[in-house]
Amino acid sequence: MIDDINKFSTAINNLKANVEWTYNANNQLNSEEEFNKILWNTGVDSNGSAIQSTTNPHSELTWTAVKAEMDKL
Amino acid sequence: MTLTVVKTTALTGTITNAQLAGGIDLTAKVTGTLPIANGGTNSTATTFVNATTNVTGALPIVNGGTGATSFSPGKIAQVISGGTSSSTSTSSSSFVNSNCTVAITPTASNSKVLLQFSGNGIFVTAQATAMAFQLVRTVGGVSTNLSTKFARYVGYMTTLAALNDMQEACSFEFLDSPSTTSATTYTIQIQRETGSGSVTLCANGQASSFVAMEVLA
Repeated sequence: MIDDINKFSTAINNLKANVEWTYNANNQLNSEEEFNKILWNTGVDSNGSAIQSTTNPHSELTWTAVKAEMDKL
Repeated sequence: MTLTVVKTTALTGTITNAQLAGGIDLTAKVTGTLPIANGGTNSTATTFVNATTNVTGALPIVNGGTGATSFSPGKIAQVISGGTSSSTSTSSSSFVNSNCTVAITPTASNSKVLLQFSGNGIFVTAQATAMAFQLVRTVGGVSTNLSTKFARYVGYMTTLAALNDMQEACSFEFLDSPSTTSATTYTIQIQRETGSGSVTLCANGQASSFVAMEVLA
C-alpha cells in the first residue's frame, strides 16, 4: 500500500508540481476506481483546513497519465 | 447385696470437676445471664444490631469512620475509545481530516474532556518532507480548531533510510473544555508541513488510538 502511495505521490509531482490531494483508504491505489476517490484541494477555510472535492481540477492528471508515470517508477 | 443410696434433695455447695465428668449440656441446662467478667455479654437478646437498618449518624473517626455524612463520586464520568487503522495520505499543505476521530457526549456542561492521541504508521514519501497535526472539535456541524500545528515536523528524519522501513509514532494529550452536553466529535487533522512529497498516518493499516475521557468538575 505504501509503495503505491509513494509512486502515486512521485508520479503526481512529476506530472504537475504543487498539486495537493488526499487519499483516505487502506486500499491499493492502483486502479481508476481508487483514483476517483482522491480528494483534490480547491481552497482553505477559516480554520486553516483544506476545502476539498472529488472533482479533479487538473485536466492533465488523468488516471491514464498518472498510471503511465507510476509504471515508469 | 449392694446398698444403693438415693439422694432426693438438691445439691448445694461447689460442684467439683469429678462431678462434671459427663459434661454440662449448655443448650438445656444453663439459664440466666452470664456475667460480663466471665466472658458473657450481659445481653439476653437473641438478635444483634443490623448495621444496614439500625445504625444512624456518622461513625466517629476514632473507630474507623470518617465522620463524613456524604461523599463525592469519582471524577471520570466516561471513557470513549476511538481511533482507526484506516490510513490517510495527503500532499496538502493545509489541514485535512484523517480517519482518526472520537465521539463523546458530555454529561455536564462544566466537564472537561481529556484527549489522548497516539498516532502510528507516520510515513513520508520524499526528502525533507514532514507532517504536522491539528485537533478539531465539531459540535452541531460547527468545527473549532483547538490547536494549530499541535506537533510539527513529525516524520522528517524518516527519509534518511529506506523509506518503507521507517515509520514513526507521535502522541499528545489535550484537555478541552467544550462547555456543552451535545454530541461532540474530535478529529485529528494532518498536513504536509514541509517538503514536496506526501505524508501518511496509519500507513499499512497501523492503528492509531484516540481516547476521550470526560472529567467531572
